[in-house]
Amino acid sequence: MNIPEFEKEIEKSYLPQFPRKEFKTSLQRSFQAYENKPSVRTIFTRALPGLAILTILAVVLIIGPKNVWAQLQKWFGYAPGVGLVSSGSNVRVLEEPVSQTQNGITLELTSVTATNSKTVISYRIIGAPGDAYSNDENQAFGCQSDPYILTETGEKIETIGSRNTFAALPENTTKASLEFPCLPETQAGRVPENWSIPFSLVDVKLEDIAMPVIEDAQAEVSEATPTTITQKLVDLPSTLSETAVLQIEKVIQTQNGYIFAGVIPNQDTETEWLGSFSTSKPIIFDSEQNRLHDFEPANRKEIMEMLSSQIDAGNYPWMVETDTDGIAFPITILWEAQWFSRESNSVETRFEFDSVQIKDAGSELRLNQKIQLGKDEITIQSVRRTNQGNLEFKFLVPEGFAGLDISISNAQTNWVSTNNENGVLTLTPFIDLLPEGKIEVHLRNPVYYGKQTVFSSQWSPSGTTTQERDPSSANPGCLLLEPFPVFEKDEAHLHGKLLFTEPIAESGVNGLTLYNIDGTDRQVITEQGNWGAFSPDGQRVAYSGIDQALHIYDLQSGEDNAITTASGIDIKWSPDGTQLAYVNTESQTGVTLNIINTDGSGKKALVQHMQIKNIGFSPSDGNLYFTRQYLPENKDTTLHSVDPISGLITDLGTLPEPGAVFFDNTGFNLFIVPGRTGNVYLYNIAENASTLFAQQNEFSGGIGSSGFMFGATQTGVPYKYDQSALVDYNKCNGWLLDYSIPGGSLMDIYIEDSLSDSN
Amino acid sequence: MISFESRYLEFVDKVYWYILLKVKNAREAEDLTSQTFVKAYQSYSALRDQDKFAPWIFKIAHNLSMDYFRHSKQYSAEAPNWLQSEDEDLLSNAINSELSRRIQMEIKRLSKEEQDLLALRFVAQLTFKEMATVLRRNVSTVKKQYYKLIILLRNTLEEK
Repeated sequence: MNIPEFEKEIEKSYLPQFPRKEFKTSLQRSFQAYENKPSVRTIFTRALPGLAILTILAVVLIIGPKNVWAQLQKWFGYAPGVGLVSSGSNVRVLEEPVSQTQNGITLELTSVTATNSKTVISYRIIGAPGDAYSNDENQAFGCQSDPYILTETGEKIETIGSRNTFAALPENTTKASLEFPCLPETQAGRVPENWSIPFSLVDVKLEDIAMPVIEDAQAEVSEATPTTITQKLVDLPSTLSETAVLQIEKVIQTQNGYIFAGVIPNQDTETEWLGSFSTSKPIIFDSEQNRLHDFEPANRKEIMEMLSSQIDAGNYPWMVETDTDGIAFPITILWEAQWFSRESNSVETRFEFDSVQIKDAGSELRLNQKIQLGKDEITIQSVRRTNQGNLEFKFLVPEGFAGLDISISNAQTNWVSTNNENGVLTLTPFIDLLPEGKIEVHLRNPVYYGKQTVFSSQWSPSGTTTQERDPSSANPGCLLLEPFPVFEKDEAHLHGKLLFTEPIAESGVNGLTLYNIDGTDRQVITEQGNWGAFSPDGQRVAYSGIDQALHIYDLQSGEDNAITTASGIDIKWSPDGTQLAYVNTESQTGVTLNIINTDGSGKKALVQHMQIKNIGFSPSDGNLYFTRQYLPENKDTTLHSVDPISGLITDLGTLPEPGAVFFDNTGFNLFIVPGRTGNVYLYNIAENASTLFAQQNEFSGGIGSSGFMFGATQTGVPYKYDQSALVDYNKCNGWLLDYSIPGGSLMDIYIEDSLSDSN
Repeated sequence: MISFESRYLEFVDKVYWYILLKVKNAREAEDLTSQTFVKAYQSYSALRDQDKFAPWIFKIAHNLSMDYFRHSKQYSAEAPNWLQSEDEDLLSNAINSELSRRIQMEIKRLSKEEQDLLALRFVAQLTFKEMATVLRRNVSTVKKQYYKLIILLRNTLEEK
């Protein structure tokens, strides 16, 4: 092969990896309103201190329960942001935060943790102007000199590895200073240089700053595969099924439970198995077979670092956090892994059909054609034109057959929606410009289900069978029992509508579509808009048109009225249906939270901030509630309200978990739904306080209204659709929806109150 | 001047892909992609030569990724599936051709710097001049390193 040919092969070998659609959209929104306007820079710099603040590390100190600590002298301490600290370590922390201001720029030391092995310092720089940072592509990004610590005796302590981790301080050091020859990444001459911030340290006990870590976890672990467990998350045909011990390498005690971490041994054999596998989430049960709430730990990086030797040996890390208040030990951690195999040689076959026979949405061509692909004979059962105008192929495949690669001649396939159930493999390739007429379809590289392994272990803390409930810990009233049953309209007594944005066939761009809650009766509202929202009575949809105007579409009459003076996203209706609130994205004004009457009059900007999100009207006090989030350094999300009449803004504090979103419930409460932990908080507007309300394990929350939540389940299993779930927090019920809208994102839910209340 | 949003839409997929290849973790890649564009946004109005946007944005992505490696120990193994995005490496492997799979296996054996060189060429789709800007080397050095690597890769694959 010559070099140019080989270069083409290399290029082909890189399979594109795309970011999540939600991530792309969210980041895009941040930039949308600020294009090329002189005012942008000023607003941006002022409104987004996260850009000027260099928060190197937010060290959260979590205090482990002292009563447990007494029994655990062999444990190490795990301090988030610092890592493992041995029990004999002399630990000193910052006596009080210190700061220094020069020319309007403040350098603040927020935490110092000094152990026998290292010193970790968190600091932030506030108020540095945007032009202090380099924008010259031919230069490095400004100051590259690391800060250092200067002890009272004049000893210089340098960084080790990163700009906030330094070598250990000499024993008994209680006073020192942090020295910055220049502020990191800033350009010479733009901001003051040679900063020196004195700080004092005080001794603390290890248990006051660190969570205990059980180093010898395996001593407490026994193998267990409970036969009474009925909740299975992965339901795949498997050529083999076996059990194995789940290796627990580290157990870290938290305020409400434990973090478990370990590795799954690498079982890759080059000839037979692929180099990876797919797993469900870990499932944790207590000794009474009650499923515990589990979630992904924060500080993933530090836990990975603790497992580094195992990972370096080629094993796969896992970690899970759970709450164990009031549960009966031992607990069982269960995890299913599915391996896949593939033909060692590349195989390919092709077939043709005439797409003119299936021009209309929903029309189907039955082929029933048998075709050989490698060692298997598969049947091309049918091709169907989907509502979106794509082609959906159905194949009858032998047992153990997982999936294959499909492409169409003279067309670029963006991605393929795949589902494999009961021997029927359904593939829908998404193609920008689908050729019509005689279509040649290529099938390649069949993949087979390999062995399925159930990893499990039992664990209990040394000398403890039941953990006492911490009276201060929250007790959610709604621990959702998952997996949910499949949605049955009559059984659920739920009627309503779902509003999606999805690709529309002809235009190729996303439009707005309406479905019944059971996925039936698709109706295209517009091919020219997105960001839709139902009116309070469910009769109208407000949306953001691609013509840069807000629109109101009447579902009964089909009438579409444009409000040409308003342009924005995140549209919300007032409770009486006479006003719309929206995040204004007109580039002349910057991002503002606006309100406008539905007849186009009375437009008013209430709040200006780059990261306004999650706006919602409260029917109880008539105020608009919204969150602000700072990107990218400061992940805290703060809650605020604004009176639409007076414009008075009230700051309501930081949400209990960062990155949370909220939804209006009955007007007296807001739901706060963070992604990572699956916790759902109920925020009481009158009391300005939030309590843990519900917990969910298997799906991540999305859009919601009136106590309903819609989210995707997370099987993480290739060749299976990730199902969507609808949760009714009013009744603490959840259902799986047995349909999917390929490429679609839910925009809003409308539940008919009378029917849901009648149950 | 081309709007920043247009630039964002043009480059976000490639920047994310490039960073993901380096950090091997979808969430970290999102975080660094977001930092890359925020940093670029800050200075976009000062970018005099619009044709240099590609090397400029990848230089920021490259620097932030290097910074990420300096600040946190990195691992060659990947996080389990539930820690990753929906883009599953397994699936990629499964649907790739045999030659592609072998090429990628060999690429994974290269040093991080060599992998970066290939990613800048094939993922970021930069010219040699642009690659030289990102890597702060002169064009002929980059060219020499690149072709040496390509020939080495080809020979390795042909020997097997």
